[in-house]
Amino acid sequence: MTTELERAARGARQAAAQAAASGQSVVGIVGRDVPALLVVAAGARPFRIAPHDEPTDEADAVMGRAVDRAAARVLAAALSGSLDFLTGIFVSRDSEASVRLFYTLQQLNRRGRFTVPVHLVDQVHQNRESTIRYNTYQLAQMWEAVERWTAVPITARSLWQAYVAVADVRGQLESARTERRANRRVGTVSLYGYRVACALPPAESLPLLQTALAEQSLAEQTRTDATSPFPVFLTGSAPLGDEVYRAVEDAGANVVAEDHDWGDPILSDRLPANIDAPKDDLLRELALGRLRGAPASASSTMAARAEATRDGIRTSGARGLLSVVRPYDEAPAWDWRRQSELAGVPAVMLRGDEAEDPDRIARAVESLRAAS
Amino acid sequence: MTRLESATAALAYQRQWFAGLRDSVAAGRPYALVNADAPQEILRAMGIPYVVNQWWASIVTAKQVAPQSLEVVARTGYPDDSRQYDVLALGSRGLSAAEAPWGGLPKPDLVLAELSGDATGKVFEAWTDDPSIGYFAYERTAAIPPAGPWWELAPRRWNEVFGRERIELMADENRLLIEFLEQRTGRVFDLARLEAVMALINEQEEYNLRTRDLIAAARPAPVRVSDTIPAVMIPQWHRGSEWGRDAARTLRDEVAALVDEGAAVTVPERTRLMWVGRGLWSDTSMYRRFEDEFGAVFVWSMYLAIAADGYIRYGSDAITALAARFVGITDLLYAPPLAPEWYVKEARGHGVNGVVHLVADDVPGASFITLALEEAQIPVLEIRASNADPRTLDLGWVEALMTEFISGLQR
Repeated sequence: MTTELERAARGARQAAAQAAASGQSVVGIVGRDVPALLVVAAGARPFRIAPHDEPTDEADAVMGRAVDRAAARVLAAALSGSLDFLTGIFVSRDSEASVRLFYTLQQLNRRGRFTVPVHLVDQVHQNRESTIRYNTYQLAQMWEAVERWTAVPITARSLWQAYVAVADVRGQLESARTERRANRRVGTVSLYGYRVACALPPAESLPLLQTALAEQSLAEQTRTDATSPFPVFLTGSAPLGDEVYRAVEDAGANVVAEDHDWGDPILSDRLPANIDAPKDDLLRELALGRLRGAPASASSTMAARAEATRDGIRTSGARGLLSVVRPYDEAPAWDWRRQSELAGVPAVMLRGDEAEDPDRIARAVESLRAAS
Repeated sequence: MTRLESATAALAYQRQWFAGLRDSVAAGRPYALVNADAPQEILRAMGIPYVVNQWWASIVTAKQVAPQSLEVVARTGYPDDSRQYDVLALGSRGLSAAEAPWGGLPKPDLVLAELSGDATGKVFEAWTDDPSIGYFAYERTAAIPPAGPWWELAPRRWNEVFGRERIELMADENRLLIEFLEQRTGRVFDLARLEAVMALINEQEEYNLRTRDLIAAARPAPVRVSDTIPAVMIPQWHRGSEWGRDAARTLRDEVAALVDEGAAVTVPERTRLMWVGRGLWSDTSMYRRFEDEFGAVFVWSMYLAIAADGYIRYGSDAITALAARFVGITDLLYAPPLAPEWYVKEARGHGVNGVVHLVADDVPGASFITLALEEAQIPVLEIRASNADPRTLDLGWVEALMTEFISGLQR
């Protein structure tokens, strides 16, 4: 059954395009490291670009095939013209694929092949004072860029309003996460929830999330422990769509937590504690919020990832660890040795072209269940 | 023509130096393993010997033990199909005494890398599975569009090429590295020593610049790329030493003499080629065939050219100048728009008829390099392959592609 949440997640680009057609500034976001708070505060509609489009020959020719498919899909969308409604695009420095995507879009800008302005938010990831200073500067650059794009200054009032709106959405997502950790909410619904929260403005995503949470709670009243699905922690590549989650659920399991950037880690990036702070302090807090958030595979140490995975499994009650790693997404395979050693539960990694194949996922879930 | 004396001397020196390093390590003294894109000058200034990861990878590859080294990596539980060039040194530590080249790579006391790509940091972190090995990582920041031709601006006006904030970040990290090294080794950093090292490097690269210009202007080409690579790169691994500076001067003198004599790699020289990307130079017989059959000679590789244009930094603040050298060194070779503009300038300067472009998996802006060259009316052959993993590289296929390309240029 297709829910409102799923429909909204799938239709987010169309909704954003319609908003743009009606005169609203819509700012595209690639990756988790771009703080939507600043986009909302500049009066724009944040739209995190999901990797829906199939890669094209042109995208492969321009960026090369040896790059994670997620980036190739965003590039394909840009080349097809379906992102032309955007006022600008902020790209995270969250992976090599994102950096390549940025360089590619920047060059396409120079050549007039793609005309939407592109800006890299070059936040790096070591927990050092020098890094914090650099990242704070990067956010100041982003602040200037979004004001330039929207022609709307970010003010104390607009920041406060944006903060309240974003915090409300986060509150709903946190409630949903609690339900899921109790295995009372299915992974696909959570995935749609995160996608809606990232791709729609707070005023539109909040009621959808509230409704979904209420519906899910009602549905769960009829479920018994005997019918609870096998709880799995998902690691590896960030999913392109919902296929991996569906395959897990079709195999009688549930993704109760994950560490990719379309999932729970979004909530680990804290909002500034004091939104009224002077600009430099506020941006520093914002930079720290991401830096101290959950470690992402492409930008953190293997040790940090292994500890985060262990903690995530414990917190979520997962009884199996499943890693699904696409070709050219290099980092997760490096993490795997230490992750699986520390997991404390049975662990299976699927790699390569067929990693996301539902039959392979079903077999992996079965082996996890058998070993549990 | 015979091999350059400079190349022969450099290769002999490196063997002798490495034997000395092994003796030094056996006597209990520390050494570092460093990725090529991370600054090595502070180690030089502090008297901490180092092995450059990519140099050792080239030795492992040349001695044909790369597959065995990658098998070691896989047995350890890490992927053997990711960052193969970066990981060969780690894998080579598990080779048997009979297999290990040059007596084997000793265990380093510390490893040093820049966080390029998604996995280089993890490759170096893997060394810390042995907890006695220390690890220091530099951030990798993104390139910005330069204010003009970077090869003209970088020596003195580096902020206009790389951005002040990026350079400040790396300068801060240089200071952190100094603290890290002082704590681990008990040695004391001396700024005057670093300034001397930086001055020696500028001298060395000025010689390389003159060598590059001599080769660019000479018709026919007086030296083979396969000769200039060791003659440039081995001294590059010893940057900041008097030997490195003197070796670069000797190379300049030798090339100048060859130009004066009218020496030629091949006569007649019918086609001048440029090799863009990492080299496939371990087996030079293929290139000899192109010379003999087609009069085709490779006159350019990035190794001499980047030494000529990419390293010189004149400044009174050695810590910042060092940051300005390394913060974008990889960008200069791979990131648009810096890299494409430079390759076009070099192609024109050397009067090449065509370019062979080896595109590795981890190169960010390869298509724009090819595009810029083609827009400059320079034909390009793109070869998509890894130079580090012999299991995936079919040299016969590469040779066939190049034969067809060269034949096409001569029609």
